[in-house]
Amino acid sequence: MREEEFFVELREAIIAGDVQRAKECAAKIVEEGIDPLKAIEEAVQPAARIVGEKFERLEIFLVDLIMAADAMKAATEILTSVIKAKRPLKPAGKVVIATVQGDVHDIGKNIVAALLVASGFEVYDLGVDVPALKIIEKAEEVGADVIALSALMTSTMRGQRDVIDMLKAMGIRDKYIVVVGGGATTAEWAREIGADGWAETAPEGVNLIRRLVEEKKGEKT
Amino acid sequence: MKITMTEIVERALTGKPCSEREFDIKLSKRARELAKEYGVSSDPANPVPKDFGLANSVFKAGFQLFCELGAYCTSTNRIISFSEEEVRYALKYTPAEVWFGEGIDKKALIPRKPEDKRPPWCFLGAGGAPVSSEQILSILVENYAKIPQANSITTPALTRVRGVRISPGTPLEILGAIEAVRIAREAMRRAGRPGLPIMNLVATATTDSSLIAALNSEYGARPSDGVLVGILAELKTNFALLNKAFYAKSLGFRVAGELGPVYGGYAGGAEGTAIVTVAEHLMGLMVYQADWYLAFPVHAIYTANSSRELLWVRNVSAQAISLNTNLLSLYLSYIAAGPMTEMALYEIAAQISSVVVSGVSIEAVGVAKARYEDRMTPVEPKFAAEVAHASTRLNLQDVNELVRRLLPKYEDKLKNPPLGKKFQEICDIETGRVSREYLELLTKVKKELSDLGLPVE
Repeated sequence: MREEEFFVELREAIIAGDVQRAKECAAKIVEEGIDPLKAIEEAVQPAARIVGEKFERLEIFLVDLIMAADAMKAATEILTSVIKAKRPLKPAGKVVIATVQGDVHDIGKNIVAALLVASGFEVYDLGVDVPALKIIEKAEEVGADVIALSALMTSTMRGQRDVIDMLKAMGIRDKYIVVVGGGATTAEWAREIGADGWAETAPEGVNLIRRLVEEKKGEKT
Repeated sequence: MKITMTEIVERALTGKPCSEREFDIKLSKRARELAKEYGVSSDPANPVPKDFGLANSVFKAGFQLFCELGAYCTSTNRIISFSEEEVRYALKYTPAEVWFGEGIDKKALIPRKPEDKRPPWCFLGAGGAPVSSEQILSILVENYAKIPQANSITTPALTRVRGVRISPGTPLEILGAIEAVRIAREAMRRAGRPGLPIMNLVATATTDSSLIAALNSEYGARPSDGVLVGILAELKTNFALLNKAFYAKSLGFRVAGELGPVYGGYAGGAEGTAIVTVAEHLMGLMVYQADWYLAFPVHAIYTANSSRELLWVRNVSAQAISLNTNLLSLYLSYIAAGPMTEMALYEIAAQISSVVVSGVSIEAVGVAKARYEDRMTPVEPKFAAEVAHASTRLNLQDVNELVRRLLPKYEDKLKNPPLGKKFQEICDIETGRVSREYLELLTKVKKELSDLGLPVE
């Protein structure tokens, strides 16, 4: 089997959300001595992009997205276990994501989290109704690049501002990119509370996070 | 015998343990499988199907899905299960009418059927959309109550109280919830309709504690009002929601199972979302012991429900419920565009006309996705009510043709819809009087609708 054929198979397995097939294919790539970094760049990352695009057009749905993200994660783990011996592969960025305190709605947040995983981000999903301090503590613990905050209800939006205000009070606001989203939120609201960005839809949110992380990394270099 | 709320809580505490992820994935897969098994297939070219066999299949699939999966309690990570017999029994003995309101505005909500000539129940107002001040809430509700077709009012949600932004679970939320009821009641009194029911008690209250506080009759809430208890997407609940249902029912309030399955989410595509819409009606019946139902299947990307896929979901699930049950179902319209835009009026016309002819009643309107503060006026719900009444003269085939001709007028703008103007830019802030410009736009669109076969008075 030629290198390209392995990559095609891995891409297809990820897009189909077939975790077992993706694992087997990644293991074969390692066994055959194919460059795992090349496999990530030419099979895993394009598959992730295709999955994101398909979801944006709603040709696939949330469960397909979650399965594809699982397949991508499983394959990447096998491939990076080999790379790690030579040089570590950094994730696209680390994101702590949560629905803010008082709000128990999670579907939008779950879509963003699945798309982020599929895009190569390391995602720490804290769930719903999460207090501001818990979100910040997790971001500090894992060295997050991004804090992503969801709120569906008008009455719970304030929880997003509480996180930003607490970051400011702790003197660590500039350490993190803070993005907000959810049914009740707007660009105007994001500006009002001092967030770094807002997106209306999950795919736009992932693009926003990718752009802001790249910009921040660019500033550092 | 009827299952009691105590029994529901007991099942939530002792039901089969299951991880939330496992439940989500099982639901997605079963909805997809059941769509195939029952031959449920969407037809985007015909957003208003006239195939009662299809509607019955959607009902059977939704019934099977709910009986197989039950409802998930996120507070206990357990499943609240029901047997088929229990669900059939509850369906058989569900009341065929529920009375709302007081005095001359007291009226029975009754079930409708597809192509029913009786006007739908018109639950009019803001659909819980946010307003920035008590003053705007007051003038909006007064003008909603002046709409002659209004059978009940859907109030806006306050984002601030006394100028301070509301935070959930705090006394600010309790104060906001109480103020919203008090102000709305007073506004309806000014409009000369003090008995008109509020059916979305209390849009400002998110937490169970705030809702319970605001239901105190001291502040104006009455058992003849409606209380919305949400179903979490998909087929989920928690103890805070059960607290709301239990308390509201114990005081005699008319409790609604509020369901908004997400097209593109765990429900999957159009077929799965229609099936889950039926299943969540049944969850409302069984878990919340609901007296009525508020459905708003919604698009994961557009967060509105006027796209052709969502129109199909709304109409086929409405037909499924109205043909197979006596459940008192109202469908809420979330439109993408803002006030004083042609697009908003086209979206309202497409959604309201089709769902009314499909056999349910309406809540109108969540304008600009009910997302933006103050982007609503009394014009949109009044127009929706006029469309609703006029639509009773149409049959399913007529309304399908109408919708097919309306969709090209707005569907390419759903991703980036025009947001129009705010209430205070369109209406007199003291009286609510609407600008001439908006009224002229309304006249123009009504003329177009008349030319398309829907004469709106």
